[in-house]
Amino acid sequence: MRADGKPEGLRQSMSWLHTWSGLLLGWLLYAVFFTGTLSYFVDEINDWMRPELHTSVPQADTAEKTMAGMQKLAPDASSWTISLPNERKTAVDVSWRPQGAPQGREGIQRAHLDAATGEVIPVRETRGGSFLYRFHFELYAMPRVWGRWIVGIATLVMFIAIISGVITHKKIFTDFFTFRPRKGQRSWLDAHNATAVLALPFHIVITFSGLLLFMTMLMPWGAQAVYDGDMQRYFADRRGVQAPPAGQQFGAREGRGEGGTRPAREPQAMAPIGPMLHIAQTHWQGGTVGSITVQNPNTARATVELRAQGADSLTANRGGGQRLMLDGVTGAMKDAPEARPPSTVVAVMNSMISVHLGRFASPAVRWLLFLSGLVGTCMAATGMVLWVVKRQPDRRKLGYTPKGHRLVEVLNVAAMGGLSVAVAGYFWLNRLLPVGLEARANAEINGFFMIWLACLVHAAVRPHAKAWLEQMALATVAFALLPLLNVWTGGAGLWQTLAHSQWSVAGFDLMMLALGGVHAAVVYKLWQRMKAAQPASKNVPRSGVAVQKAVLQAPENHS
Amino acid sequence: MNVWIAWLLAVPAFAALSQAMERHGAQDHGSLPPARVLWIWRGAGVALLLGALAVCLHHWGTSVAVAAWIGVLTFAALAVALVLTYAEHRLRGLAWASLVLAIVGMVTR
Repeated sequence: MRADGKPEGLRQSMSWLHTWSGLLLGWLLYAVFFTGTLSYFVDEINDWMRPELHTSVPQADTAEKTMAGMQKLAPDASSWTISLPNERKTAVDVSWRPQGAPQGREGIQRAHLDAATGEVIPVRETRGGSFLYRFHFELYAMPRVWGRWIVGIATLVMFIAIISGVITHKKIFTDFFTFRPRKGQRSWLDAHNATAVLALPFHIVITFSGLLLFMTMLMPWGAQAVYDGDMQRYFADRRGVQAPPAGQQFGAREGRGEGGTRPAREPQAMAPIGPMLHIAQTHWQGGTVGSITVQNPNTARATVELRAQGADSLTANRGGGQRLMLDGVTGAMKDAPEARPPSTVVAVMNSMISVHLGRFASPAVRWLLFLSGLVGTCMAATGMVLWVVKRQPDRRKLGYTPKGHRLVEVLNVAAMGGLSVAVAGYFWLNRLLPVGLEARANAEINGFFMIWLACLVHAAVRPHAKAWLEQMALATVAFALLPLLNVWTGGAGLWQTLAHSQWSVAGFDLMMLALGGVHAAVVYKLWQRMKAAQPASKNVPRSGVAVQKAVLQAPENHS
Repeated sequence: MNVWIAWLLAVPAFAALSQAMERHGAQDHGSLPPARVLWIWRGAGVALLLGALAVCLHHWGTSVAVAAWIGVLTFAALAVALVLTYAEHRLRGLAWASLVLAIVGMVTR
């Protein structure tokens, strides 16, 4: 409501909506954005956090060595799944289902194999990057569905904030390339506008696709009505596969063999994998094999399914990249499983979701999305800082800091600076906790939250500007030293990983140096302001409140 | 590589578009060039943006290409905004250099 009692215009009311929706869920959205952005490199983080794997260097004959390794590891399994190394993964991930194992996930056994020898590499217990990935859409320490609802609602609010923000922005085209530095509030608004507008397509797609990923949870009614409550059939339809007959569980497909005439478990030697890979490569015109699935290995009914690494299309269904079926005994090609092309609606949905999940081959596009994610993180950050900066004149007029303002300040530092420290700390704990520790993966995660909590306490007891400076400085050091910690605690150093083209590990180290650089830039700015503010703070009486106030106002006085 | 070529095309594209704007296009004497010239800048900008899209489409399937193109646009516009903020007088030189590099890149591969 305006002070003069006139009705508000659309822009004012949208501005109100944008400010408060952005602020209330901003801290959560910042965490979602930051951990989600890191999740574009979840495979790389997983590799780095298992330094035992760093000795594994992919070779030309990795597939042959892996098959030999599987023969030793699980010759009698009912199926093998082998995920070959690529530029995002330096070892071989294998899983198998022993004969008579229970259905579903619990029946599956997993291991990591050395890409050069096919031997099992024992790894430390860690959730790795998967923790950050899971956290970004279902949080932690609460039932998954609650976490998803909370993040889902926050995503909805984010969408509202984006739309209301666009309406609020008065000069979206005039200010398109405009950034005015060293002008206090104006600079923060420009930075917020630039990071929002220039990456607007990314923000809209990532938020909207986030909602699409939660679609059946947030709004299940449409699908329930059309499919009579049979959601299995709905999901199968969307993925373009035949729905399993009622009563049959997912994962119960092993028994389905095409050559029904041959007895089930008659032992039979497998054809060598090399020629099969060659067939696939010629068939796909140079595409490389990313994963191998073997049904009924070492039997007469053995089949080998090869899948191409990544996809060149965003519209394809999940796992809808190129694939090839071969007879495991003869090594000859079989009829490819029919893949229905997705309908237009499904294709549109897939293209949104594929961008969100980074489900494609090209590393260049992954980097673009990662960097866009960083821009989005900066958008959230500048927005929340802007809330504080904008209210500094009011606060000066009042002569004291209202409790609400102080609360926002503390939460800003803890949510942004604190999260950086906690994420870096999580990586440090991964290397510093003893390998044989009981419940080690949980200890890493608990450590992450304890560091974050400590940052909240720190932000509450320190003056605002000092709290920012100290936490950002700590984050800078913690990120920048990770490549050294990596070498020191048994990982492969940058010089080795770059020389051996182990891009996953090298990429993580480089990404941490880059994050260290970003934080260092913020520290430098903060430190400059702090230095400029020194003379001002000497003139006021040294009561705690007054000093704190002077520091608070410093950024504006000297900008 | 292709993503760089697309970016090198998008930078002069946004530079040209910015030169057709009141805030950035003013000449030494403070006034905008005649409307006809502004339309040439706009046309060149749009053409270069479409060129960047063509580079992406040449390298990727349609859906990935469009996603990559939009990402490239973000970072090209960001670069132009930073140059306009901190080194406005260098914009034209950098834009031409970027265009030349893009053409060299396209010819040599």
